[in-house]
Amino acid sequence: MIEIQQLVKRFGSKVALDGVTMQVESGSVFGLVGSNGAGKSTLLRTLAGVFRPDGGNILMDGKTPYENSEVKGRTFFVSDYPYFLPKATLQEMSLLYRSTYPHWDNSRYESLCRTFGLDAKGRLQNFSKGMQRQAALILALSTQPDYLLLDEIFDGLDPVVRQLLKKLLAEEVSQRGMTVVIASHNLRELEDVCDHVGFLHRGGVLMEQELDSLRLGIHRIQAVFPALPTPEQMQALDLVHWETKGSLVTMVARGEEEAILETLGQWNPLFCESLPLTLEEVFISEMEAAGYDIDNILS
Amino acid sequence: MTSTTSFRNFLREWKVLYVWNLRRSRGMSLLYFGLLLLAGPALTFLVCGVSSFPERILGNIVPTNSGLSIPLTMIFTLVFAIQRFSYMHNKRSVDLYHAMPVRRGSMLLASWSASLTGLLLPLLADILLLLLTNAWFAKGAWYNIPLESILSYFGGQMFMAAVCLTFCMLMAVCSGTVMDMVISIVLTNCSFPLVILMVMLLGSWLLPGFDGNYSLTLITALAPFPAMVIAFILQGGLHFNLFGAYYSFPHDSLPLFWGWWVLLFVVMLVASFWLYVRRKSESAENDLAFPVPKVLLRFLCSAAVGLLAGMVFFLVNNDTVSFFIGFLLFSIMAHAVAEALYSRGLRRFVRTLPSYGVMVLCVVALYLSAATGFFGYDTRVPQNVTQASMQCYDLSYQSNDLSPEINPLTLLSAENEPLARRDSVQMKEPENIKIIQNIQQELLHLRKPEGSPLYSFCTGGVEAAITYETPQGNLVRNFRYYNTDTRRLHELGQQLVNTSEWKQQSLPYVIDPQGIHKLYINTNTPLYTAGEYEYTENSIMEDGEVEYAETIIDPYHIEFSLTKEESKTLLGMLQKDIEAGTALEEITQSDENLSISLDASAKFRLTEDSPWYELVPEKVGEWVYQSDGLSFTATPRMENTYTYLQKLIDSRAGGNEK
Repeated sequence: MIEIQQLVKRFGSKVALDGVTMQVESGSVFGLVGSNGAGKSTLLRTLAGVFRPDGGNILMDGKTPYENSEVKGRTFFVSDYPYFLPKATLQEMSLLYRSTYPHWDNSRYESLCRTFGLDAKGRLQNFSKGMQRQAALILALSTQPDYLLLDEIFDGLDPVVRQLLKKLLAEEVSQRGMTVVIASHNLRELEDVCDHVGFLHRGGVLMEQELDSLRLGIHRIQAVFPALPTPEQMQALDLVHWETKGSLVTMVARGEEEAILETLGQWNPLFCESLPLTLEEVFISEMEAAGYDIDNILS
Repeated sequence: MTSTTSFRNFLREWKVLYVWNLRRSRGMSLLYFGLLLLAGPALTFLVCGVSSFPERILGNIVPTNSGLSIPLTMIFTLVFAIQRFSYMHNKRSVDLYHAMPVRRGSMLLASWSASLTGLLLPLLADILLLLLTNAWFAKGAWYNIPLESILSYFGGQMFMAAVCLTFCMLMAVCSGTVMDMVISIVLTNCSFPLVILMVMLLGSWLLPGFDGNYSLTLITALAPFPAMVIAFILQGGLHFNLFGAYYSFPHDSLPLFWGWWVLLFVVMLVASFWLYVRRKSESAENDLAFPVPKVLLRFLCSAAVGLLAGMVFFLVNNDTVSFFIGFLLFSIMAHAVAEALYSRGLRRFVRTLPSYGVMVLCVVALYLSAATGFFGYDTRVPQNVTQASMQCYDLSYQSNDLSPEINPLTLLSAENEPLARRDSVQMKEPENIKIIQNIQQELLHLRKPEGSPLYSFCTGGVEAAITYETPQGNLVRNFRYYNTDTRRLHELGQQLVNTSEWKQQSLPYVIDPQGIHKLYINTNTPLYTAGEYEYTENSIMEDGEVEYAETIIDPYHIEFSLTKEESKTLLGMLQKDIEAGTALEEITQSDENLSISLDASAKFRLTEDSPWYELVPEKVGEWVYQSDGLSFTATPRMENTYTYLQKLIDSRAGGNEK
């Protein structure tokens, strides 16, 4: 289990992580979502032991990862731009990881090479962006990590490889109980693979929830009322978004669907229905509620 | 138990990365070895092959090859440092390295030790090949190369390579980018020696009594790359001849040099690891991980360039204002250049001006402290002075060149080993020591312009040295002054020369007459009349005809040998004239004056009545000789000497009439 308590990370005067507190259960796939500069990559690097926290604590199975070879030996971090040694081949990189990671599985490495179909003797620098990510994944999964930290892993992967990745992650999680933390802006892909999500905004955790309860806990309602109410009059609802187009009101509200519809029923709507929200829509709504000036950005 | 396991893990992590790093740098090591091979054994093999005297080349095989390989070692130290430490300067590579299950200490140690191995192994192979080359040409006598020579030259070079690599590692840890690392390495190695030289020069120009400590150890104290060359020079000896010129390093000693670098090596090594463990990964691609080197180097660069320019400006215009104008103009430019190099622009230039101001204040403080005597350095006279001596070229006029300070005399063994030396007149009487102190005060007075509380620059002029001896050690002060108003100084000099203590130590008293074998006399009036040419029998031709050598007779010059008795009498006459004071009077030009040179370099057996006896009593009965003799001007006022010389001239001029 990963426990993050009041984690602070500063870069000079800029606070990248400002008291982040959350938990990632073992054997779960945790999606880290957030605006640009929210601190997702910083959080992953701190989890990987690359960055030293300026405050707070990270515990992975009760141990801090920074300068802890034992924890790092069970963790693998694939950064947003995977790095390979100059002029190295996949084969050469595997030699480095084989000698440093205690749980390296060579048969797994060879089988993954076959699955992804990469040339292990080709220079990694000459690989495409997607192929480099595949190479990084092969190396990562071959180390048999207990914690796999992936930063923007879906970028550059073709749809087939994306599906393959999801499948491989699902297998590792179910078979070995591997914990995965994925930071990504590709919410569509996260929706498929994650069971938990955490929204990061301006260095803090906006919300952290199980994906299913997140979906069930926020609803988009479209309704037409005989007399158009104002958002202030809807104080009984936990409104996240309110928009009117003529007499049609579109709102996003937190809470149970029945309770929301019951509250709206008091205003005798001419028409009222609940629509499912995608993770992306939930994200946008939450961001807007957190003060992210979405209208201004999109206009 | 925990610490043992931890240490084992540390070693395991180190070993894994060490082997990995070694494998990654083997190409560069091979290249280095190839170049060493060309510069050393291959070149030696080639030259020995075509030389008629290969043994001459083989005799210097170790220092020559060490000297040739030093530039290569320097270049490859930098190359290895860039290759092996640049991982910490790239954000992406930091993600890889710092996420690996390897502690930072083991990671840095692995990079350092692998680089060191890559640097030293080719050097070791180079030595081995040198020995084989030597064996080839010296017909198996490879053991002729002394082991201590290999140890001192190549051992020194290897150690300095390790020091340079460690220095590069420290700079790498402190830097955020490879370029910053290289800039820091280059600037430190250039600016530090320059700053020390400039400070020493400024001090010797400004502070009376200070002659600068031009110790190579000090000059390169924080510049390991030049120090590698200095190590090579010092291994060759603290005195040596190069193309006929004699060099010596009186301020250096090998134990001090090596002691300092061993200490600094340990400090840099510990500091590198201490800092690296605390270094933030996010420093990669940033300006600097730790700002101290940048601030220090900007300081050093601006100070070195500013002082150099200030001194050039002073030499051109000969006034202090020019010194400061040159200093300010060039130091701000050097500061801007250093800032532009580090920050890739001048956006933050204004913010760095306070640190520039600190440097200016330091230089002004240095100037003021030197110009006011450096907290009493100028006037300092130690307690319990047992004896004092004074060396000044001006005094030679007052002592008629009879001072051993002006014409030092050395006693050497028959094997040319120096046994004793007379190069100073030691004043032990308190009143005479007081005269020397008064001379010191006068020398200080000469350096202060009328009404000014500050000493002025003095870049040339007359040199004078005062040495005070105490039971705790010697205090030496070297002065410089312009010969403008030196009346008072000359009076004091005359007082000194006329003390009986001084007279008793003048050359005629300390020279052994047994060593005198020739007298040379020059004068402005003819000593005798003679034909224009003198013919001497040179050789007899086959037909029996005699060939004569033709020599131009010079009636203004005469030289002849002296018997021991004559030598003793001549010195006795001189001593009488010294006691009478006539030998130490200021010389007035006259055609009657005789310029005398006594060659006292003949070998003799040391006796108990020799003036040297008190210095080397154990050498009685041994063959010795004196390095030189004495020269002086005999004036008619020196009645005893002059009369005796006339007598000698008359006896030697032979048939020639005056």
